[in-house]
Amino acid sequence: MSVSTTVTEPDKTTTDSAAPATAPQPRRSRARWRPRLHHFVQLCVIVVLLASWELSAGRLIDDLLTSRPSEVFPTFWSWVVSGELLYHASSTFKDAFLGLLAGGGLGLVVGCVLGQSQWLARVCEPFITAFYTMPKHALIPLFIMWVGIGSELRVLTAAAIVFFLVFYNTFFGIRDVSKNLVDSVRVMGGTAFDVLFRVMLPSALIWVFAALKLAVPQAIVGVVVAEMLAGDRGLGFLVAMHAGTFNSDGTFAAIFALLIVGFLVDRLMNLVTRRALLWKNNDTTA
Amino acid sequence: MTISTKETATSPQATEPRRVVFETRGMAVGFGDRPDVLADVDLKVHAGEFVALLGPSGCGKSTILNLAAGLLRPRRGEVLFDGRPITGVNTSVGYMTQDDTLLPWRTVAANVALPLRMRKVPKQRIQQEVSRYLAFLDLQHAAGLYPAQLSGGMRRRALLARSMIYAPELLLMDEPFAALDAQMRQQLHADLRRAVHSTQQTVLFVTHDLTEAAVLADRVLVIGGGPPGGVVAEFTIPFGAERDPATLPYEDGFARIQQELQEALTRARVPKQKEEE
Ligand SMILES: Nc1ncnc2c1ncn2[C@@H]1O[C@H](COP(=O)(O)OP(=O)(O)O)[C@@H](O)[C@H]1O
Ligand SMILES: [Mg+2]
Repeated sequence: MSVSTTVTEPDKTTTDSAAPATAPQPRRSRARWRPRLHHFVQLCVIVVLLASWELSAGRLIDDLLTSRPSEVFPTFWSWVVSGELLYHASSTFKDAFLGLLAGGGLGLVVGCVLGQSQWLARVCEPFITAFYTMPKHALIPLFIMWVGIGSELRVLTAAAIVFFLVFYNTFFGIRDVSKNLVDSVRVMGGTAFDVLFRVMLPSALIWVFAALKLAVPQAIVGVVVAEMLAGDRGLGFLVAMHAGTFNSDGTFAAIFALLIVGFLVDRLMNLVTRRALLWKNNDTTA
Repeated sequence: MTISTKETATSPQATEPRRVVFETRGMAVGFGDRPDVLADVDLKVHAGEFVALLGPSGCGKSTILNLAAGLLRPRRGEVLFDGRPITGVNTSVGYMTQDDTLLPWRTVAANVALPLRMRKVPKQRIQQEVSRYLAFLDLQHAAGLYPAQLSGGMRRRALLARSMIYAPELLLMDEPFAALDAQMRQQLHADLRRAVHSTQQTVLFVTHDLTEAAVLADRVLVIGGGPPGGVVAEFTIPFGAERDPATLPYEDGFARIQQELQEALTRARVPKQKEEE
């Protein structure tokens, strides 16, 4: 999962080098998955890592600190069975989702409004940049002061992070819209309404999806950090609590849960983005 | 003043009085606080006519089309459409630019349908018109494809279909085929002539390629001599409406027209002041 803090430009593969005219249909490859060499290598890497961890724990390094796979996985499994994992994971997801909705929605609206006006944009530019580069997690203590340590804190943290990502990309997305495209639609008889909804927003959506691909994992990171700092539930809380009591089995099991969550979310976002930007996927990136 | 040496390659056709669709009178235009790009431009486009604006790069050809589309205002003089000054964006024209202005998130059919949808034409009519135009420009099989999946030539044809489907009074074309290879361009010249002939479309076509101008147009205006530039010469191309752009270059008299256009184009590159010295 790529977690960078820069604005993600959508890959602007120019449409000029087009696929041959004979390209029959959008490429919807439903090719059956089959194991390849690199899958095998990946599996080997995992096995080797786990084995060397298992073998070195207690011998080369203190297993009080590193635990060992043969203890981490049973702990993890016991959480799965008892429902504890579901309880904490669903709390994390719920808060991240709410933060995503609130921050993303607001970012979209504010980005559209500011992106429309050259003058407003010029006024706001330095503020936007300053806030964009500031680490939003530093606001968590302030948020605790404002809203306490409940669910509101976690949602607010996620929302603050997502807001800036989505706002920034929408803002630049709207401003990036080709003047030619807008003019051509106006000459065809398009109203200001047509221009906004048929040109501006769809254009900006490429950028918004690029932002979401970052924002969704970042929302989870925000919630997890908030959970670690304060509160009584969530995957971040699990990590912090077990680490706080020197329970390395539990800490690693919780980290493992975060690993899986991150992986799944990234895959999901890939799927969603590819579906939504179907028109753009003319066989450019495999 | 413009040196509007009116030349006719062969005897001018019998000119019946026709409605003037687009006209400029003493028009001057420029950008910012820089000097005029064009000045004292008088030109007319009649209904049903195919007029080409030919001139060196940067002489102000696209600027004239932008004036006609109402995207730009003149500094002086008048720019008239149907006898009235253009005040806002002119939605009575179709405008096909050199850039690809297909909306990439819409399929070919949806792109071609767009002008009619925005004009609130009934759904069923839209469907009929879209299939008619797609068939006419040989795009039926591409209806469901996105622009990124099309070849350059198909994209040009989709743009042509989109700018013609609402039967604009005047079709503006700005070097529409410049990016295509020679063979594809020839094919599109034939398609364009066919489409224009069957719909009696009035066209104002910009190019810097004199053969393209001669092959397509009924009348060629050579722009240049600036800055500020203007109409340097005017030619009537005599080959009639049912010509075949592919074989036209081998017709008698075509070589002479080409040569005269070449000379006019050479003159258009020289600023007027220098010419007078
Ligand atoms: N938007 C603009 N702002 C400033 N100058 C412009 C603008 N558009 C065109 N020009 C200038 O006007 C002149 C004519 O441009 P244009 O009409 O595009 O030429 P052509 O289409 O004949 O190549 C050029 O010198 C160009 O630099
Ligand atoms: Mg031009």
